[in-house]
Amino acid sequence: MQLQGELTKSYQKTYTSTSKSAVLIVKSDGLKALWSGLSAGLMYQVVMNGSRLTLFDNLSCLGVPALPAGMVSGAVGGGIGSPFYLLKTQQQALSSLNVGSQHKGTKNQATATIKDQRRTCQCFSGSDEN
Amino acid sequence: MLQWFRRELKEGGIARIWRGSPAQIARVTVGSGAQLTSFTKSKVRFLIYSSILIYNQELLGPVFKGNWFLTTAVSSVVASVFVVLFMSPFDVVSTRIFNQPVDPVTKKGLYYNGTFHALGKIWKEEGSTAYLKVFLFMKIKI
Repeated sequence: MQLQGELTKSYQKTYTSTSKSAVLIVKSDGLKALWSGLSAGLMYQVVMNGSRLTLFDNLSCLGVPALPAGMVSGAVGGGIGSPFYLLKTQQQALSSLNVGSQHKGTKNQATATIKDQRRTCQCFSGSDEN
Repeated sequence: MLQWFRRELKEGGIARIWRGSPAQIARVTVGSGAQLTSFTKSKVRFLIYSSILIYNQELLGPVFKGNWFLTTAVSSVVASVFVVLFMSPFDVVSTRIFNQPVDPVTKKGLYYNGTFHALGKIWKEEGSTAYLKVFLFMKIKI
């Protein structure tokens, strides 16, 4: 939604409201697509909030007021978690609807490789009987 | 995920993985400042309600009294409204920067140079409403 109509004023809106967008995503890429970028997103939240809230609590104990403490701990947490957010954004933007630039390399190829290996194993299973 | 990290590292080193981090730092700095401040302040406010207003027989007093779950829950709802208000423009900027294609030769982004360049460029090309592109959406996220 944030990526549509990038650097232009006149464009056809692909995503309109939240519920309509969700339906559209499920229709075009399946239900699983709503959870795309989940592992990177989780890693980001764990790393970012872990460091951020720890730092905020420590700063508060030292007597730093809430606003500067929140900002400093946010900057540190955001900086540490940044790569995960990068991956999450690119994975989530990748869809058959082609909104925003598409980064094909971010798709997880590990599962495909495992499936291929299994297939190879199956081909050779039973070969020791000969 | 590991594969992706390995490949990106090979292609451009640490700088490539951390590209766009200034935008992300700006986003979380603003967001975190708004969130943790408003959360702390509103929690204190509700705690005061719960301890003082009970003598006045006001409505909120008995509701919040000794109920740490409700106090925290309501405070975080209040906090999330502030987060959405302040963070929206930076959220759009960091999403755009993270998703912009990278020039294969110069290893730099094709559209935006940095956070403030992106803020200015989006304002100029799309108008101020672009910053609120996800306003409704974010309410659900939080």
